[in-house]
Amino acid sequence: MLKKIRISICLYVLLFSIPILSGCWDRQEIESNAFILGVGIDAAKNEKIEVTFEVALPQSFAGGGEGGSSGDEEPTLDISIVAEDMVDATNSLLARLNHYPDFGHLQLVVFGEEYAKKGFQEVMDFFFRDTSIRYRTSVAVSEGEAKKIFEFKPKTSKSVSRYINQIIKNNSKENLEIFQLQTIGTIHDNYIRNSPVFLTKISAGENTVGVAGGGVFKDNKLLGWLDGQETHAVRWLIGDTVKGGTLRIKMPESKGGNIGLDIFYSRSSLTPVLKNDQITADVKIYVEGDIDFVGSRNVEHKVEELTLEWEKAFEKYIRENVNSTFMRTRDNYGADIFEIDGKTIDYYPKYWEANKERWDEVFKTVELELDVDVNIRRVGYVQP
Amino acid sequence: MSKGKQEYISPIQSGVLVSSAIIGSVVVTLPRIATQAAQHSGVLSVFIAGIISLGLTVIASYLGRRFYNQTIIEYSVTIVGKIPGKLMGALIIIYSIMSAGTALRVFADTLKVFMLPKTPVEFIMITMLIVVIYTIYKGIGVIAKISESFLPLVVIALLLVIALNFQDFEIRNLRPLISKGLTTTLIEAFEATPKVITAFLGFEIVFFIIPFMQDPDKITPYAAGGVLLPTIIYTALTAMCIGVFGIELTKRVLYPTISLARVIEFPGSFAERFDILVSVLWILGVFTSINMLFYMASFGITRIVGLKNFRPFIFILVPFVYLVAILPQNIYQIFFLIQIAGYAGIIVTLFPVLLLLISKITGKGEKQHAEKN
Repeated sequence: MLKKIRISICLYVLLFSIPILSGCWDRQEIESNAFILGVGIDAAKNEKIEVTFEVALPQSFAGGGEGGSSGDEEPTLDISIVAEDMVDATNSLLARLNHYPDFGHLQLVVFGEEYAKKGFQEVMDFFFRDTSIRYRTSVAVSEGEAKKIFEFKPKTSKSVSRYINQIIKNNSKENLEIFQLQTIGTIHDNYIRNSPVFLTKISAGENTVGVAGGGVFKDNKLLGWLDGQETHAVRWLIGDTVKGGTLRIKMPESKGGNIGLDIFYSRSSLTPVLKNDQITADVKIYVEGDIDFVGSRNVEHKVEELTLEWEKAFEKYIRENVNSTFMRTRDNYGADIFEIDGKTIDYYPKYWEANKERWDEVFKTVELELDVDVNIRRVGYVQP
Repeated sequence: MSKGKQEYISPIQSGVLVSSAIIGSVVVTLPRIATQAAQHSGVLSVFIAGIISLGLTVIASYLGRRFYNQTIIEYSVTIVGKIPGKLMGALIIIYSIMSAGTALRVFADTLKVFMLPKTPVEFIMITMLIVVIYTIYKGIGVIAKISESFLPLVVIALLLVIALNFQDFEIRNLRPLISKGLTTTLIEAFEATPKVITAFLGFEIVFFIIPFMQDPDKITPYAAGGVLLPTIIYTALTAMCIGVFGIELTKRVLYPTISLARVIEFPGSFAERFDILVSVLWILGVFTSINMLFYMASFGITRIVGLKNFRPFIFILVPFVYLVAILPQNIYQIFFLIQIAGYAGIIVTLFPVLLLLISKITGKGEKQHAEKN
């Protein structure tokens, strides 16, 4: 009896293993995949959108690694499609390409300026909902058309999306003008709370692509731009601190002329403080750096006094920059891109519950309390 | 197969069994469940739910030791009489079948969403069922050994998800725990505990493993440790999710743990798809937990009808488990089913408290306990 059961079980196992072992249901050959590296979205006529896909051609990516386009073969392919929305666009892509679009390695999403002004909420949901898209994908806004950016073929990378992504992710650590924080994940959070966001700006020139400054978004609509210097301030205010980057100030000729400060450590924090129904943003900025440039040859002062004076001057510079940027975004745009709303939720949940309907008005009354501390540690290879 | 030879499980294996039974398909959805029920206090709520489960486990193991060679199916009859006892047993079995079916479905659905978009869920579920049947056919000894070898992998995967996200962890996202005031936080946490405690279901395996232990008196600390491990992991996971995503996003994302695994990025992006590794190891966790639930159902039903060999009942139960798994038509019905199974589970886990009280009052079981010593 037992033996019979055992034999019958063996038979069952054998029988069932036929469908299991005969192959993978979701088999997808890598050669037949079209890896979408970048997506650019522009406004088109009749409320439609023009979506530009940067598609990696797997055969040219195989082997060779990094390094510009070699030989005759283009490593990527750009396809522009006018469609109703993102789903329509990916669908149309199937009719234009003999490969299957795969968003698993998406590096960059760019909104064209005109489209961003109309509001990006229609397409964002696609990026939140699609299960193959990762939350780390960078999101940026372009000056002019997003399509232009994909026309640029960088020499040092096989794809412009990856090129820009690397600039945003890596070089932002060394350059204060590049804003790096926004990804699909962080935008999703802001999107749910309907909180304003600040996106990196990409500008395409004749034969260059540059990343500096950014766009202020409120209610998912682009309101205006902040330049590179103002991006410094946004980064200080958001607490996105850098372990690199340089600051420059102008001093009188006798006190050193143009001075450059090479930051090697910095930290900043923004804490909302509620006092008598008035929210004050308490900002602490701490910078440590080395002098890496002194413009003037005729320095007349003692070095000890000078470094102190330079520290003061840098502090003043940061304070003014942060203050003016904050005032500008507060008064001109009324957009809380500094996450003060999010922090108020965390620090004063009760106040937030009472005032969340009129947060826009509350934000217009938020004052800034700045505490800047700059420390010059070393002066490089020579005495000033 | 087993010619009267008793399989034994060691005390440490009993702890491992409890842990593996708890860590199952719910891991991927837990942070969402907790935050939806209790906002930021979800973290606290998970911890409280874990501690309550720990208490219930201790009670269950204490009760089990009084009837060291019986399972709950038999001693419930001894304690409360034939008909109520059998009813209790029947409810435990119904709960186990439902829970196994739900776990199977959640597992298949999650896998379909993230890894196998074109594979039918039925296929995923049937293949999983075949492996489960094969394992439990071999008996509790094999289940224990398999759990013992799989649990470390599952725990390591979850710990990696927690540890590798530390660079994005923002403590301020958890600040409302303090700034809301201690009382509000505690009230919120306790209110949500019944919902959250469903994540810890699975420790009922204690009801069934004591007869298999050579030294049942040692079970309590090990079983408690078996609950403590998931408690710590779950609490950390929920805190991490809120810290990285913020409260609103955690509430919206359907599978927050997998999302957490997806935001991990190694320097130089040499492994961009860490979530695949986590999902694969998570499958092992689901496998061991379905094993246990299915084993409970088939073993329980054998004891209820008064037979010794539970193996034929495995095959009888397969259609029922599969039916539960296939019943929900969409994702919201799945969530509804999880809730129903969870509430049934809460009732089941409260049995030992009742039984212990009655057995203390009537003095049943003490004699047996004394005999052993």
